[in-house]
Amino acid sequence: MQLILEKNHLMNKFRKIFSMFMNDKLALISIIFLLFMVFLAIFGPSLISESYTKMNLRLRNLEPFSFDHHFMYFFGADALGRSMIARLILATQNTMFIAGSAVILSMTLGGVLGLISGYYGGRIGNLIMRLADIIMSFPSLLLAVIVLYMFDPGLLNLIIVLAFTRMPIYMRTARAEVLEIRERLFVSAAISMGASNLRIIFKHIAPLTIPTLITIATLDFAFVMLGESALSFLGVGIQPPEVTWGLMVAQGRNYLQIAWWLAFFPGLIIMLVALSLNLLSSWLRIVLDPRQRWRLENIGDKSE
Amino acid sequence: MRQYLSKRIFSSILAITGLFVMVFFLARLTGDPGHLYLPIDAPLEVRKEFSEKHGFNDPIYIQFGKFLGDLTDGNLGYSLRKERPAIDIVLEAIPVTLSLAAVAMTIALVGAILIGSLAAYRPNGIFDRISRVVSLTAASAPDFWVAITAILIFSVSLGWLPTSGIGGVPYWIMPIGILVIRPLGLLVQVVRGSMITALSSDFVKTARAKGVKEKAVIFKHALRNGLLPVITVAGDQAAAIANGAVIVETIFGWPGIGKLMIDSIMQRDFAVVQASILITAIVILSINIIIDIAYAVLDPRIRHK
Repeated sequence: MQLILEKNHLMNKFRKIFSMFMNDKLALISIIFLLFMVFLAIFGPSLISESYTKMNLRLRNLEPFSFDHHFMYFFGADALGRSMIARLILATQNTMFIAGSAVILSMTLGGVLGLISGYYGGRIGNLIMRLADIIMSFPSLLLAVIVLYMFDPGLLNLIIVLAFTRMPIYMRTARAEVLEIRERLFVSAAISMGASNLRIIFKHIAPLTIPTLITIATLDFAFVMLGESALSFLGVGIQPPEVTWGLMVAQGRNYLQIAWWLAFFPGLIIMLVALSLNLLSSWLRIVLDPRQRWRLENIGDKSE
Repeated sequence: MRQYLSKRIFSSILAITGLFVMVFFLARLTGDPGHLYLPIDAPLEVRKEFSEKHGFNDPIYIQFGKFLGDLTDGNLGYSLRKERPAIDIVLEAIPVTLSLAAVAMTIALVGAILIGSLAAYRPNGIFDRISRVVSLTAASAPDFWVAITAILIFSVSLGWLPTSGIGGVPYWIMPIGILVIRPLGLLVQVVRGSMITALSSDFVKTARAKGVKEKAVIFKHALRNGLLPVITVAGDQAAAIANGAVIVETIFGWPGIGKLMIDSIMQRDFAVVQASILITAIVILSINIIIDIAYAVLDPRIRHK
């Protein structure tokens, strides 16, 4: 009996989350689109094998939306006759990898710095927060351009720079959370039992800050992606022959008058992915906020 | 309040100093400017003389000391590229960017307040849904892509607007439009959120109960309170708009601080890079301090502390 009840409870929970998705159709579409993009990023390049480097000079600047050729040429071809679809898929992998790594790095570093700053407070805490002030007081794009111009714009440097410029938001959020959590009873209990500072920070406090940080990271993924594409556009992002969506827009700019699709499609995808992330994070925020959750739950509860 | 402000100004100065030291040393790592400014076949003696003349041969900390000395005289160095004092070049570029940013920010704020309040009036109503999708789309748009798409449509195909350059009103439309898009999208969300909170609070119920007209309830009672978080976010947008200005100025060829900085970095014109960074940081931090004051003026709870 107990078991059945528990199973039901679990099923209910799933149903609830599912119905909260169903009650926000836009969030549902976003998550499907994003999952598709992640699938493309992971498996896409191996599915299309070599066709992203294959040049077909007879199809140079082929116009999109024609059924005369292979479906890989449905979105047209670039100036070297390479299929746009294949290039876009390859760029998906690179873009997602760069943005994903940068977000994870930035969340980890910023989160840890914020935890330390909030837990210890005092001079160390202030010093860390001043670092956040310095990063925030200056246009991140210019800072990234300066740094990337000095060290060559390789993959690793790009990820580090992007992570660095997005750190302050995690530092501030983690710190604010810790300041509140630190005062709770279980922390005092852990202290009185003689737990070390490190153990308290990482074992007791850190897990509680993670949901908030992940909600921020969802939205931040979009910002990092836009930042990466802007850097590529300015010529200090990833370098050819590697390709990202931003770089495709930059390269397509030169052919704007004769082949608009070269710059148009990659830019459109950047916008759609960023929009989906925005919609998803606004859904997440409502789901995680008990005061607002009823907006999504109400309709589903009528049947019960 | 005064104590808070002086603390704020002090920490701003600290932030500028930190940023500045960082950039000075980073900029020195970009390589030898001689490679860019002298012909490829320049003899070794000429190269040496060039480095000697501009002090690039000194150890980096001596260069920094020299630089600090000059700074106290109000001398920010000399541009290698244009052979003029760096500060003059920067001060010419700043007003261009400031006017661009000011117009864009004003439009974004006014637009966001109007759209956000209307959307918050009936949450989940039809207007709210449309404005949610549109504003989130705006916040997600890569500005450089919108810019070149706009050029393609309005300049190349339709021929209505000039592709680049500065001049009369037609030259302003596209740069401003593109600069407005992202802050507008973000601010609409913020206004909507804080207006929903304000409209469901007790003082609005009280105002309605004593028969205040609906327009006055929204714009006088709710909006004044709803604006506070908006002002904070608008302050954070100051740095974001500078980011946008870099892109817009590069694409439309506006001689503002963003384009100047990109050009100077590419050409290793250290003095101009440093001067632009210093001035930009000062401008952004001053804007943030002004916003803090505005915040206090609007919120009596802070003013009387």
